[in-house]
Amino acid sequence: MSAPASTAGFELVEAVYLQRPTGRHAMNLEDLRREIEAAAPEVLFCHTQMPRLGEPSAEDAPPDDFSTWVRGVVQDAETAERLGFAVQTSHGDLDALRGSLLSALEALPLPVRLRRDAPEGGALTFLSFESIPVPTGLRAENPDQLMRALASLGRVAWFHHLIEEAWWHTGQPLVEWLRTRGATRLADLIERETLSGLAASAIRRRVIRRWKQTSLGRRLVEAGALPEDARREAGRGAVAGLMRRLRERGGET
Amino acid sequence: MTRVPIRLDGPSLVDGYRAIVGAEPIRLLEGLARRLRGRRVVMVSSTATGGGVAEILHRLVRLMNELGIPTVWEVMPGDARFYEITKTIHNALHGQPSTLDEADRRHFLEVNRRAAGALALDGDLVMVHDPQPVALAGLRRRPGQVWVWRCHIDLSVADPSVWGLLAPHVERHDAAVFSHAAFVPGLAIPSFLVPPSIDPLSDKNRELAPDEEDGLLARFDLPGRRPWVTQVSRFDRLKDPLGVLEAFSMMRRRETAHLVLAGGSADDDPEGAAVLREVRERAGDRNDVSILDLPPDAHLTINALQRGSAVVLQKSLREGFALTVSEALWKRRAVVASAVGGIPLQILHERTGMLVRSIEGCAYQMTRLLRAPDLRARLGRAGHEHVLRNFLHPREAADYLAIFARFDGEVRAIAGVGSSTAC
Repeated sequence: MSAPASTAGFELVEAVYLQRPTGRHAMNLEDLRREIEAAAPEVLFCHTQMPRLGEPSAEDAPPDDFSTWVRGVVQDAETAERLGFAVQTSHGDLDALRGSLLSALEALPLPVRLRRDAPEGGALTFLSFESIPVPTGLRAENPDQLMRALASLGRVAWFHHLIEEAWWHTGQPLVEWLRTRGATRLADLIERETLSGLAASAIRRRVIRRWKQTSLGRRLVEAGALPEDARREAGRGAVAGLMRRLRERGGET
Repeated sequence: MTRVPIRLDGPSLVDGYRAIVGAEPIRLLEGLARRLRGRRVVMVSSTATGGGVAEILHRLVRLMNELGIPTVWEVMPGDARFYEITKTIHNALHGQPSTLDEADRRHFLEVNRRAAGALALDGDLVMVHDPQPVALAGLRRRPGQVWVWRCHIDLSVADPSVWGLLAPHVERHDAAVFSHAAFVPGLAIPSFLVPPSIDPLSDKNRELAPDEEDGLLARFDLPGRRPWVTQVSRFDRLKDPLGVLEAFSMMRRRETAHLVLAGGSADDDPEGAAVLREVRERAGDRNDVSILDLPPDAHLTINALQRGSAVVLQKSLREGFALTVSEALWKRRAVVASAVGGIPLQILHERTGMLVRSIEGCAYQMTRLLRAPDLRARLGRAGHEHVLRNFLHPREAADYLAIFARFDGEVRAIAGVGSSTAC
């Protein structure tokens, strides 16, 4: 887990997410309502937040499991929309999430909830999860080091620190750590992107892009203070990087 | 000899996997291995050849050793009667009525008792694969060890009398691992879901040069001009080879193609020869069907057959996971497969392949795919990407190490020896 607030550094951690069966299933919207009402926090997290770990190329907010099932299997698009909106606007608050999901389902009378069901073999299986933390060995002493370290890590570390730790209030929240060290704008940016419901990989790309843009001036000043050889080397590196990106873009088209 | 020799020479698996899956999954593996430094792992199964479990273990054991976790693989010795009994157990767990009598049950436990005396089970972490060695935990477990039962079988319709024989032994483990949520029975120990995986570096899955592929297939006299529809599976009733023949016959009324049924028998499957005979009788002297009885080490041949096929089938009646599906998807093949067991995790219908529930459905999707090369290519690309992210060995290895790390910390905390799992 992250370093406690009393220490200066921030330990970066990745995690393996182990899925666990709960033995619970839903065959219709009333089952879904009843199970959500009684579900452990890990179950709600698993079905609403774990999809955000998703594919590394994901660019948008991935749908949660509940609305995916209601839309694709039960084929009730309107209720699926309401469930999706409830997840999107819950902002990491478990009670708010549970309440919004239940409201979306309870908008339908009980007989309708019972009637809207899945075909045979189409039950929604409720899962839980356990997170096994894996230290990366990376430790940041200031916001710039933290961003450099985060940029070197993939979506799993971003998911762990921005989404999982914020949800469970474990460790020291990354945004809080940044704020206490004066990086308020960066903390606000990360918090805003995290609350957007985007996939962890999309948050990573967007935050790194903005961080690079906003730190361009400072990096130029720093580069200006370097010896001539180092400046020339950095210039070559920048041109090589630009060429590589252009080639990649050419390859994509 | 009960220990399977694992070759540790040759190119590094870790480096090979990193080149395919990227840095992040390998960094996770290395981090988990650091958490488990100093622990020894024992894998236990009933056979070292044939079948998906043996294939996975050959690679995982080597990978874990490369990661710095000393890992050995013990194979439990058995006799012909034991294998007959375990085949009956296997079929009963897949829903066939049990024919086990009291003497069979006694023999099953007696072979486990003998194995408990013969196998080297002195690791810190012991993973027991499938029902055959399930009783070992109760017979050989020492304090401080972590024992995990890894079930590769679909237990959703298991005969209760047979599951009742196994369940008390399963519950002598710290945890049980299943391939799919639908397979999990009620247990008094924690259960985890870990889909199995394939090895992209193995002879069965690595890239083949065109002339290498041609050379491997030359001896089978398969037609070059007709597209092949192939099912690679053990000759086992649950793989429904007769259903494949029927679906192919329906499709052949509309399209030209050649059916290849390729398979063999695992050491612990005495029924295979009888099923192969039945399939040959049913195919008769048809010249559009090739039935290939392959040896257990025909990995390159299977690779070439899958790569050479226009459509790959897996028309199983029941399945554990059906790794042949991931193998075909990895090779960017269009796959038609039954919606049973773990197959729907691999085939996302109309996105990475086609799921079917009947012989007619199989014939329909075969016909559709044979007529649409663009659709085959699109499904193949998406299937490859899906396997890359979810069904390759590094992901499965990370899941096992994470489970070990989770229980290792717990056991050592209880034993008062301090946890190595704190971050």
